[in-house]
Amino acid sequence: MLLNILPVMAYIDPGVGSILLQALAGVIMGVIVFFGLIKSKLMKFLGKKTKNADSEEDE
Amino acid sequence: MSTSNDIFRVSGSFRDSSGYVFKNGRGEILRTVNSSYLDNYELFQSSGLKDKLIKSKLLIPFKECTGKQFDNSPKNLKVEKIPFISYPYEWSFDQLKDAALLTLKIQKLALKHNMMLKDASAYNVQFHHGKAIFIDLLSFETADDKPWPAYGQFCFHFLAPLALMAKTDIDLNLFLTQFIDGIPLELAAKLLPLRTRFSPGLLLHLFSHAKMQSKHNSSEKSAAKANSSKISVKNKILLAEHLISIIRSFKLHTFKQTEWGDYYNNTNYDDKAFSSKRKIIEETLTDIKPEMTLDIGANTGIFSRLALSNSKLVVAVDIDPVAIDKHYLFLKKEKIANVLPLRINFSNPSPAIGWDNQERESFLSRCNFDLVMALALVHHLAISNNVPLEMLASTLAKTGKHLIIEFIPKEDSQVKILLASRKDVFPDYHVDGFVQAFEKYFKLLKRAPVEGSKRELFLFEVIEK
Repeated sequence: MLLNILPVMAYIDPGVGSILLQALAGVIMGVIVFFGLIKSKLMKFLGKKTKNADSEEDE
Repeated sequence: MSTSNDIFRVSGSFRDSSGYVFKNGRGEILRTVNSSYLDNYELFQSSGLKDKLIKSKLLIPFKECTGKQFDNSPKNLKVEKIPFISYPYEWSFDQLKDAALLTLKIQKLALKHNMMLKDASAYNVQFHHGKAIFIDLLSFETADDKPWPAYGQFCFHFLAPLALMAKTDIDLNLFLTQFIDGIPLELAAKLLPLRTRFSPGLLLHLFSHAKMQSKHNSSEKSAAKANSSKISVKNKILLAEHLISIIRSFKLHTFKQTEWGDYYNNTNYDDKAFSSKRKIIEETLTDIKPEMTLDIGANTGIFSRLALSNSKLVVAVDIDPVAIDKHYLFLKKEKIANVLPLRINFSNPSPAIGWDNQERESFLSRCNFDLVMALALVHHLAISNNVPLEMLASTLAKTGKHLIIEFIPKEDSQVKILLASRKDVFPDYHVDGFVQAFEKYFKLLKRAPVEGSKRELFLFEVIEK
C-alpha cells in the first residue's frame, strides 16, 4: 500500500534506493558547488591581479 | 489516406500507457497521445520545450494529425521516420556516450521549463542524419520538486555499460542483449576494477547506488521515506550536470588493439589492386544508384563512403568495436550525415529480444537494402566460421535486392593464413562452387577480376520468389 504513492506518470519503477541516493547526492553536490563557488571567486580575484600585472609588463 | 485496417501497433511499444507507436500501410510512423498524458503533452507544447528541442535538433520532428484520430486517443502524431533502427548493443562506445550525453542535455533543458524525463532508456535514442536524436515524444512530465524517476534507469542503461566499456572491456555493452532493462549496478560493481572505487563520480552513482538499491528496494520503511522525498529543480539540474561530467570523462584507452581495428594498415592490397577494386565498385554504384546500402565487414568505412553520393543511408557494419568507433568518430569529425556505423557480427547478428521475442527486432529482419556490399568477407565466414557457401548465399539473399561480393580464392595469401593451422575441409570453396551456390538465390549480373590480385568481384540480383 505504501509503495504505490509514487507519481502517476512514473511507469517505470524509480527504485527506492535510487530516490534516496538522489536526495543524498543533492546534499553532497550542494556542498561541492558551494565550495566550488568560493574557489572560483578566489581564482577570479587572483586572476584579476595577475592580469593587471601582465598588462603592466606589456607596456 | 490510410484506413484503420492499415495501421498496426509496433511490437516494441507497450510499456508506457501514455501512448503507443503505430505504423501505417505507407510505412509512416504514428504515435497516439492517450488521455492520461494529455496535460503533460499540453505543457510540453505551451512551455516552449517542444519547439526548443526540435529547433536544436535534439528531438525527432513531428506534426499533429488532423481529422479523425484512431485507437480512441484524443491526439495522433505523425513522426519523421528513422530510415534504420538500431539498438544500444549495436552501438560503439562513442555512440553510446553521445546517446547518454543527449539524454542528460535534454533532461537539463526540460528542467529549465519545469519538466523532466520520466524515463531515460537507451531505446529512447536513435541515430539520424549522423547524430543521436531523442525519439520518445511522450517522455516529458512536470518536474516540480519530485525526485527524478529515471535516475536509476539512466545508470543501468548508460552509466554502467559505459563505465564497463571504458574501464574493463570494450565488448561489455553486449550485456545489453541479455539485460534489456540495462546492466544491473551490482553486476557492474563486481566487474569494474578496484581503482574505479576511487573515482568520486562512480563511487556515488554506481557503487553506492548499487548498495542503496540492495539495501532499500524491498523495504517498506525506506519506501515511505522515499515517497516523501523532495528534490528541487536546481538539485536535479546539478545531478544532470554531475552525470554529464562523469560521462564526458569516460574514454577508450588509446584504442585497444583489436583484431581488425588496424585492418587497412595490414592488408595484402597493393595500390593497383585497391584502385581496381574501388573503380569496379564505383561503376556498380553508378549503375544501381541504391537509396539504402548495407556494407558488411565495413571496418573503418573506406568503401562504405563510396556509396554516399548515391545512397540516402549507408549502414556500415563490422564485428570489430574499435573499427566501428574509429569510423563513427571520423564521420562525426567530417560531418558526414548519411553513414551509420554499427557493431554487428554477421555470423551471429543481433537476435530478436524482449517480451515475446518481439520487443526489439533482429538485425536480419530490419534488413531491406537496395544494395549489400560483402567485400573481403566471404573467406572469413566460409572458412573461419565454416558456413557453407549455399547457406551464406541464402542469408545474404534476405538482406537486400542487389549484392556486390568479393570472392577470395584459396591461392590468396589471406586464405592461406586462415588455412595455415588447420586441415582444409572445404572442397567446394572455389570460384565455380561459389557461383553455383549463389546462383541458387541470385541472378549473376556482372563479374570482374580485381587487377593485381587473385580476387574477383561479383554483382548479383536476388531472385524474387
